[in-house]
Amino acid sequence: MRIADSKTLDEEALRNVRMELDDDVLLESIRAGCPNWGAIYAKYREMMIRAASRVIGMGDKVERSYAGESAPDAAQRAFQKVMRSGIPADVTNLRAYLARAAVNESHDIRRQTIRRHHDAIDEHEEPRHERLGSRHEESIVAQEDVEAVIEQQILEEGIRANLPILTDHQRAALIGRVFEQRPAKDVAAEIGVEPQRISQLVRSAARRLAHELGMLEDESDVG
Amino acid sequence: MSDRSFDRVDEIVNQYLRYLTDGKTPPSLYHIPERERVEVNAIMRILEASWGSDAVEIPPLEFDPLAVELGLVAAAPAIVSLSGPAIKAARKRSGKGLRAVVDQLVAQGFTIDATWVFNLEQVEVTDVASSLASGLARLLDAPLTEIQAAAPSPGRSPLQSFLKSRRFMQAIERWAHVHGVEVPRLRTWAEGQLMAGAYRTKGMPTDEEWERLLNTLFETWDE
Repeated sequence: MRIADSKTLDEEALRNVRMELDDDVLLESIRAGCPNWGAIYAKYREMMIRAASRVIGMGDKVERSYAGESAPDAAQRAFQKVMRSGIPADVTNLRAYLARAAVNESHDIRRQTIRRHHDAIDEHEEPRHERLGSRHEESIVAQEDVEAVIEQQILEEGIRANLPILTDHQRAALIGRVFEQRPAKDVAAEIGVEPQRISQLVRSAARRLAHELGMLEDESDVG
Repeated sequence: MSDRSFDRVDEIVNQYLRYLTDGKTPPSLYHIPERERVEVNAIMRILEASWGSDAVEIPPLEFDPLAVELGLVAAAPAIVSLSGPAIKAARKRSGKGLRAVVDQLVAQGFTIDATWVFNLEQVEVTDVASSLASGLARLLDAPLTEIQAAAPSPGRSPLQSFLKSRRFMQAIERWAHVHGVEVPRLRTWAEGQLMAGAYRTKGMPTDEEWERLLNTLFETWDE
């Protein structure tokens, strides 16, 4: 029978490291040459996993099944690389910097797995039409694609942060129909409205968020 | 904005959600007025950024080795109280048979058998080494907290209190002295044996019963 190490648990220290610190404080620790890696990872881990999943999950079903590395692994690897190389002192947007790290790592993983698969099937001389990643050459990712994924991820973070401004029905419709991708009739039954009301609620929720995030100027017609 | 305009936007939102679902035809914005187009574009960006974001699995921190390394996860206590019904439910959900669980735990180096796992599921609360609890949780693809028993009431966990008692230490020291064995080594071994053997003791054993079991176990000590 294995016995686990019995370490002293310092709850107070743990609370401190897991507490969400302002980016200003985190950036200050970076500039001072002693980054608070625990606090940075605690704050941005989930965002990095979500960013990675946007890339890992972008291939077709077959490609995804060969991806091998999951988004959490990609996020971990990305953060380990960041820890090794350090964060440049002139970085001002930590969120974007770490999102980029996660997205780039995920693209690398995706490229490597596609290449590995190609090498494997070359050995077995499978017909070309059965090859995984027929868009292999296209998988050399353009910088614009990386930026687009990062932009989307940062937008998602903004959306999540602003969900409390929505009415209960708007929030439930947006989360159920869009975040969770469930059928309108299921979401409607859950919140006690007609199914056709769901798209109205989604529209009004999205419009309100777009205004809050500065994507729309006029909120006069938010319904 | 007029009702007609809202209807048009709602229809486009509907079409866009269908497009996100099946990836077929995106809605055409050709025929709609400029003002509505700005709004629709903003709404579509919100929907695209949020689409399926709750489908991303964010593993608990305790399953993230980097989080553990960075000290974001509380060091596990040496002994964890597990809930039999919760383990049974988690095992059924994972689709694993009793035998598969036993085989995989044995493969990980734990000295358990089918009877032990069966009893574990029948008993309300069982104290086990935290390494075994974590291994079981991973195996069942469940967070450790899900299979843990509710926090014990003071004095309820007989094994934990016995292992911390003077009586236990005296028994260890006595036997170690007589047989020329190092106390820490014997203690670690005895703790493991008692935790492994916890299942054999039905009900709530007293300290006397634990000590009797300990003395029996001493007879099996093999350098």
